[in-house]
Amino acid sequence: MVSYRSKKQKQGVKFRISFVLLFIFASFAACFSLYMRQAMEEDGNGVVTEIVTHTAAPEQVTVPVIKAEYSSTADVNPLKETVMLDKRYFDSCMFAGDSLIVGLGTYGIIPEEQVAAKVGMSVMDINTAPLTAPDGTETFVRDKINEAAPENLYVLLGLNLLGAYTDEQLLAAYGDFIDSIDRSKTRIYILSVPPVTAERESSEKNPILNSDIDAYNADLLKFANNRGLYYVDINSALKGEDGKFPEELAEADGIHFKKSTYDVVLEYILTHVYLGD
Amino acid sequence: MNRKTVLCSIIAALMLAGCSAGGEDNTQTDAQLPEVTASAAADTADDEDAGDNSDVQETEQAEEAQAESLCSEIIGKIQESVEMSTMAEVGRDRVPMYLDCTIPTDCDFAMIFCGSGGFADEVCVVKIADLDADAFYAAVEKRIESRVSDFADYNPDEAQKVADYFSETLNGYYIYAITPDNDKAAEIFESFVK
Repeated sequence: MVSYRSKKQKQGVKFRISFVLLFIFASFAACFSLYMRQAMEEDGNGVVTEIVTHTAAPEQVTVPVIKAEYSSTADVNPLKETVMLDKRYFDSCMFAGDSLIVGLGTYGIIPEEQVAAKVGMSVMDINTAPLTAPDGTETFVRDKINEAAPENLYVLLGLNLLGAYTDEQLLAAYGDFIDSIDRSKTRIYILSVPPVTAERESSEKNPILNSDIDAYNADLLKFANNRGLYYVDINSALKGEDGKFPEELAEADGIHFKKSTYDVVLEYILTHVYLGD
Repeated sequence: MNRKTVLCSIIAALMLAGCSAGGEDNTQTDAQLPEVTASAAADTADDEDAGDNSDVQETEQAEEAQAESLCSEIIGKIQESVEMSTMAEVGRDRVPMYLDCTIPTDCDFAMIFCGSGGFADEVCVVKIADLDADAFYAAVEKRIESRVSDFADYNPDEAQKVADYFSETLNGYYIYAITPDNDKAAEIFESFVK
């Protein structure tokens, strides 16, 4: 038989241990909750802490949620210089276009899976000319992009067939391509057409004039504004003081990029991302 | 009883203190974020440094392997002797992106092609004795057809350069070359594998 005193003592001990156990459990729950909250924040906008390498001001840099409707981007285009994002930003990107974009894959700068481009691709045939895999299977650029559903898509088109069609015709075809991309998942950036070297301008065989490129780019900017696309003016970044593509950045044809030129372009892209209002 | 209670309380307090110390980083304000970022970047850099060491070792091993590679020597000599556009090296891991085949890790192999996409220049040398030769030849044929098609409307001169490609199998080694001077490439190949 347990006396009243010892029973009371046992009850007292039981109560205190329970209290402490409850306290420990509560502290675990609190820690777990904090941990989960932080993990969710990193998933949601992890770019804040992961992709920013330096910040001009101590403010949070976030990439805004993609909107379903597309209002004019005239107020932000051409995109202004921002903080430089980390190269890991490119993990969320795909690149589409002609041989200038092909170089990103062949130089091994961007994985081929994230490149949807073909030598000789133009705005007039991007919707009809498929990409051919080594085993012969064919995929349209739009299908490769929509299947991958990248967060960001960079498009560079326009140099091929420049002058063979009017800008209106080229941009109408460009519009058809843009319309074929699922924009609910993908933010689209338009890259301006790069300049050519002075030598290429005066080439006897197939000359290309920077003035024609500039005129096309001016129309391309309006096109981007009207369609809610972001315009990245790599043309300005690649022009020398004389307004031409410096010979040292170009391959022998005066158009294509040396490997180091891609570094210039990609750095420009990393500092000209739409970061919201 | 009192001692047990005190002991339990101390343990609970210690655990709480531990948890709260771990959570300090999580409760910083936005204004503190850049510091956190910098710190995180430093941590990442440390991790990357650790990774870099293993990368360096792998790179050294790869370089050693490459130094012993006859295929790499041949490609290097061709690059020295034949004027081509800026070339990019194609590691065996990237081969399936361009040729419908895979190259075993123990197979001597080297490949370069024009990096910019503007030209068709391309050279590949492989110890064909270590491969299914017919499958590899077929993969090269497909590649050639595809490249001719790519350049046909865009740059007919380059399309012709591809169509005029050179290939040869000699003493267990195979080369295909799309260069402005295939005769020179052939001469170099033969001088190495004879």
